[in-house]
Amino acid sequence: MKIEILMISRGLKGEPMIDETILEHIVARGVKLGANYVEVRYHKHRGSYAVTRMNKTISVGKVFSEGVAIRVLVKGSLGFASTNNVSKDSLERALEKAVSRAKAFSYMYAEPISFADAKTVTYSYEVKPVKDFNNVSIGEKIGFYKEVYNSLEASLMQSKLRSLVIEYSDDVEEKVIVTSEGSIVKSSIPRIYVFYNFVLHTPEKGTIQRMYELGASGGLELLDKWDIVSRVAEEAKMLEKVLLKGKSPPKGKIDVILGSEIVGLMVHESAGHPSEADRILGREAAQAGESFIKKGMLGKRIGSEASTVIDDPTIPGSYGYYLYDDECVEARPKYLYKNGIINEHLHNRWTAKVFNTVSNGSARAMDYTSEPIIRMSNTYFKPGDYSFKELLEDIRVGVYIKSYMEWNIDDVRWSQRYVGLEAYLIENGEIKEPIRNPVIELTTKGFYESVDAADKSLEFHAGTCGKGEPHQGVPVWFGGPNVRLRNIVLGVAPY
Amino acid sequence: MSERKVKEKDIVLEITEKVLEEIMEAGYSESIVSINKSKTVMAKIANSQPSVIQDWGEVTVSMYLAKDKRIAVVNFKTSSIEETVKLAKKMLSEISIIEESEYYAPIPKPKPAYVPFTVHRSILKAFEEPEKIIDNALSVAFTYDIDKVAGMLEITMGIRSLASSTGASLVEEYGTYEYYIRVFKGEGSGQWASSGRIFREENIAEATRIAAEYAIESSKPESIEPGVYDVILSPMVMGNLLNVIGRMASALNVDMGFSIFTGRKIGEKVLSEKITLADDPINPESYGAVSFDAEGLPTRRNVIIENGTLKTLLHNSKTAVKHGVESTSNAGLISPHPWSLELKPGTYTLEELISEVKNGILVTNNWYTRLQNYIEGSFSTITRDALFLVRNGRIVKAIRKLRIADKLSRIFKNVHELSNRLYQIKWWEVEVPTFTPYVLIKNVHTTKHML
Repeated sequence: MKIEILMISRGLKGEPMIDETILEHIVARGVKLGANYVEVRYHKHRGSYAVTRMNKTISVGKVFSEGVAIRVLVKGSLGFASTNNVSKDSLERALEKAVSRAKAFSYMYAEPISFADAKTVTYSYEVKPVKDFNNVSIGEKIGFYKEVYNSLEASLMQSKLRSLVIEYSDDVEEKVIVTSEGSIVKSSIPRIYVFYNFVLHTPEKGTIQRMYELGASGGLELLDKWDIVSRVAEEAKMLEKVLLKGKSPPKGKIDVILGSEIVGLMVHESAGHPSEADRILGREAAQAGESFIKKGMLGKRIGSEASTVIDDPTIPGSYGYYLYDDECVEARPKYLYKNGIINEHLHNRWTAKVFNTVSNGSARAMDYTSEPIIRMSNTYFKPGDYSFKELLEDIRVGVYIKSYMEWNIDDVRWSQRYVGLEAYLIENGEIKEPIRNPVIELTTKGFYESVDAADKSLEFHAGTCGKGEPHQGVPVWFGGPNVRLRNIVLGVAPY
Repeated sequence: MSERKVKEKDIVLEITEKVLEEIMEAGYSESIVSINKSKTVMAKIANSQPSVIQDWGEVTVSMYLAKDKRIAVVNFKTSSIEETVKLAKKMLSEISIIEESEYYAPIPKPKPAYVPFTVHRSILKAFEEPEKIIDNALSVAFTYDIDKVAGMLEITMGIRSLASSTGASLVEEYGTYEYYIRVFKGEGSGQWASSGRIFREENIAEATRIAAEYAIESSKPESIEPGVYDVILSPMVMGNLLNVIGRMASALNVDMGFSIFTGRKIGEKVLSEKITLADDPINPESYGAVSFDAEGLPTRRNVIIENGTLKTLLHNSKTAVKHGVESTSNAGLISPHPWSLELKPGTYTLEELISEVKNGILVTNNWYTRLQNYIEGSFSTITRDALFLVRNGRIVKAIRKLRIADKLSRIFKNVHELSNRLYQIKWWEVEVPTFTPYVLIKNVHTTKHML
């Protein structure tokens, strides 16, 4: 796969987005109306999607959204307005609403909002797909689903396929952001996403269900890379064995190897989310909750030397890719936990001010209806220097958990649970028969302290991370290597 | 209703009909066009002060497009109607090369029993002065000895219209509010919600008081061991779990393997006799009240489960044809969905429910419900906010978080009693508005982290 990052000094190729002078006019007008800060974002998504069931199409379609988001800071009060009527008059009205609503609430602020300083920037960037999906019909894009069905069916020995659902979508996200501090950032990012769900069934053993998501920035070349046909058939073959032969997991203290898929989810949930500085400051308290990390905990130990978690939006081809955030701050890798120490939080310009630092470019907005808030991008556990064989070799009794279905974590990101799907017993350094529903249920510290080694591999998995009110779903990757945990007592799956 | 409002409504319908006309002229054999024009204000509160005030003005256009039993659905969020028509016309060449949809069914002919909802004047007033409502709510909260408050108030008003190639021409106005508040005290917190189509200050005050009281009562929690307990689930928790059940009642989710009703028959006993669950979009108090569905059929009250027996799935005309039944007016252009869920209340007061419990817990809120297997209904969810240990009919102390890890069907088969008052719950973790009482369930498995 080859993704080219083009930097274009004067606008992006392709169709014009919006007359920038209108955005600049709104910024200037906002300042005149008394705002200390004005940020105007033109934000467009256009894409197509398809849903198939078994070997048949259910429906196809298109999505298109285009509008402008306006954010103002007036007397320490934050106002936001958006409209999808992008005429000058309509934007002026939206601006006036943002300012007047902010003013109406300003007297309630005991601690007025202000932003940390940021560099003024002018920047444009574009992800160019190798195989553009824009002029390809949806029928051609999803041509693979019948083959997925056929190869899945062919891979099964005894069980029956009860359900197969595939959803395909592509999207081009385009933005122009202008601020009252003179920054202008333009971007265009195409992405592809595939979700699949399948259920295998036998009358004696019941059902086993698998859901998985693939996503990345780029074009139709990603479908070739993902090879969904082989991938689904291979998974189904392994899960049939888990369904037919899976035994109960071992009891007592054992060693556990967690595969990249679970490790990625765990770092997303228990390093990424609690490192969001807006959560730490209580801004999401009534929704997704707060964080066990409190102000002043930088430098505290949370895990072993082997535990390093990084959030990096700049990985080329990633699903959570961006080079500048939606406050026009340059993106960079953040080492959230470094060798077991709480090292850096995810900041926007407001939290940076409260923490007396500068933003590290973590503010993202889903679309024109959304305020930029602190989000993860591509979060991963840093690989170690073991081979997978070396992770296994001194385990007398243990389990290897490769994938999951059920999981959750509490609202301060401390107590978490993951239930394995494809999982195996380890005996004397070797992977043996499949086991069913092994449960990892531990605290964040319990997890990171128990990690003693990671192998050299690094895989990423795609998801849509939810946060904010109204709910904003943004594309993210989460990933890591295979990771070994010592002395774990597995939890209970009372199914 | 003012003359101006009537005019705006009529204009939206007129544009909808015009778009339909253009789409049909382009060569589609059937089409439904729906336009939604809305304005919303939302105030978010954190650390007892506003964190952001948001205001939205939007036009969304969705279209169902069919040609030779091939189906496309397009969703546009733009005020540029020309752009939507252009994109919809472009779909025609694309759908001609896909295969026929296994869910194709002709668009239903309109039925006359249609009574549009209107916007209650209390919503109009609330829309103009959200700052006063927030100010009052904070005042109520701080009559208690609490540490801090977070929450959200949203007021929405809009017009939705629908025109179909079978002759439906429908428009209605809507106005709703949603409010939830989380109050913190010591190590404890309490959260509650209120929503609907009629704004009443006393409902905001009541939700605030419940959250504050739970916060104070849970301020010094102690740890207990997980195990099998009788649990009382509050309306907040029931709202969350009934949303899962309600979505599982969608016939498409059943067909796709996302439901505990997959493989079950209509008329089969699936849950406890104490459970009667309806979808009721014609309740004028409901946030989810709506007079016509996405295919233009008049909505109606559907009893999904009656005394534990599965009476119907939720259908649009497409899933209905596939299942050999009539639509229940729950369209979704592709997937049927519930509008407004209602669990039939029992006869107990909350105190009487508590008095029934020998060794159990009262769960006031939860979040992050995820399933290991949708067909088998194996799941877990984690509690948040106030959680209490109940012994011999009395609340004895506040306790720290536990997880409920069990099977949905087992939980809903073990329902012992329900309280006699319905609360309308809609908040961040309860998307479909749900009217539900407190519910006492026997022998529920709980778990906790091991390390």
